[in-house]
Amino acid sequence: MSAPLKLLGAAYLLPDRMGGSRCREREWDGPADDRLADPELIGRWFALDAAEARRLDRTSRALCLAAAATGLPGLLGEAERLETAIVRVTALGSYPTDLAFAESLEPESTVAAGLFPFTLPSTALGAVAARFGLGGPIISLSPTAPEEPLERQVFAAAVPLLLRGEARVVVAIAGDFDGTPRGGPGLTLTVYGIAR
Amino acid sequence: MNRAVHVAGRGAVTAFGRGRAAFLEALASGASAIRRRERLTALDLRSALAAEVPAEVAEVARGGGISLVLGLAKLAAEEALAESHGKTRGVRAALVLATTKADISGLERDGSGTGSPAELALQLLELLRLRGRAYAVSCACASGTSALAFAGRLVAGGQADTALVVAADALSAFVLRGFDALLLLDPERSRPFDRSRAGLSLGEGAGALVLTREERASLGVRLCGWAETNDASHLTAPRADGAALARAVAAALARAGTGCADVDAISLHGTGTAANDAAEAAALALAFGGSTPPGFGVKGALGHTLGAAGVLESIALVEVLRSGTSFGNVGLTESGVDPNLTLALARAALPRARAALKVASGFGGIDAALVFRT
Repeated sequence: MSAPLKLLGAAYLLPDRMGGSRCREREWDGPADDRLADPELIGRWFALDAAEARRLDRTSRALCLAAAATGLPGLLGEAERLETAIVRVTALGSYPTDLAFAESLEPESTVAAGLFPFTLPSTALGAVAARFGLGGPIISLSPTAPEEPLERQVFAAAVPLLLRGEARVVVAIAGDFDGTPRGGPGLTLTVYGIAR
Repeated sequence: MNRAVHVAGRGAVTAFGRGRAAFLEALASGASAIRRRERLTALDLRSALAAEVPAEVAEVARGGGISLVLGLAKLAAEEALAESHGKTRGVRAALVLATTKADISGLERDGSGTGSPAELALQLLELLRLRGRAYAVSCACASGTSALAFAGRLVAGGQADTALVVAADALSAFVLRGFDALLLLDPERSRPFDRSRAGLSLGEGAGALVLTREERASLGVRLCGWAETNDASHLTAPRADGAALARAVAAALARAGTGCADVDAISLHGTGTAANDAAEAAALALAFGGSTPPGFGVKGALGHTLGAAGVLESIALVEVLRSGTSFGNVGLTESGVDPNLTLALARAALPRARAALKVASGFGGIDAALVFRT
């Protein structure tokens, strides 16, 4: 890394607690508790509009929640938001939503049309961009180096955007929050706001 | 570090058959590969059409019992590597895979694939016996374009000497039914930018491009600029004013050290949906401050190949720069978008072919632009 970078904010979702530079740490029971299914609660915590949250899938809600918990959106002016990128390294991608959509394709079920756009891992990043008005690049990566921490992989993709002037701020997201039969990196989602 | 990024190899597998020659010759002839589906025929959808790879090509791709999407990616990659004379086989090579759904056979109870782009990338790395690092990009319908930008960054920034970019997607009931549920499928062949357009036709295939810092391997075309932006407005509908895509075009041109006046041709995203084509035309009119250079799209011929589209369309654009001849827009009879977007009806010689622009968009508000130069 050839230039000093600033950490503007950070947040995490863990199996038993969540927190971030904007909020105090809160206990939660992880995906089993399923507070992410309660858009009203998310709305009270982080000023997300409940109707807006209701339209999102669980992954998008989690990412919006974590991004809000960094406090980053409140720090950025309009010009900076326009040049803020979102980069995520995710092992699960949209898999939990894929399963739900696939279930809706079963005979006697109704196709969940509203879920289909969320069967792309980048759509959840688009939800964060739309929620906070972030107009820079969106890059969703799937981790190809199991031995390398996800944080390192996401920073490796995020930092060149800053150094090359392709973004002024990057919201770097590592990990997943939802358990699935595939396992993966565990129930850890971390979000960092970095700038040059 | 900002090194030149040369295009050194191209490979394609499309509904026109195996190989870039079949793809480019079909584009030149104005043919369309969108026809009645031969697979997945039991699905009762708004459209019975798609652009499937021919059965004999699918059979070759699946050789050894691998998934269709992996087989398509392998065939395209091998062709690109052959043209580049193995320039990606060093340790400072990278494989950048682009896909929207990878192998989802497990979700369709037809295999074990879980839709992981990383798994597909690592399988491809092993099949091709490549050394070096793999990356897996999934950015909706802009995946291929984003992967080229990602690879360009690696090569220009010195993290890799060469990058093999492979973009692939295969048709599935999952995807067909999803687009059908969103009412985005045209019951007839899709007609991007036409006044009568009524949606998209889905396709499948794979495209591969080798990017390298090695000038001696160059096909005479460089990837000089790229930029990605986001609409930050809606998850499935583009911004009607095209402002974010116009920002991407301006930024890509600036990074390429060129301007609108230097652009000789545009490879369009052109899905055939009313909203996308109108927004894309508005964006380009905004970016160019009026009339644009001639633009062409291939989705009326190939269908929308989703994650593969950006690379296949870039292969077509590289050919335009090398031949000095632009392709037409299959299915277009009368433009139904901003008249500032210049749309060629048929193949035509260009007065000049030195710089060309590729644009793409995707769900999640994604916009991307690439600039190629001779």
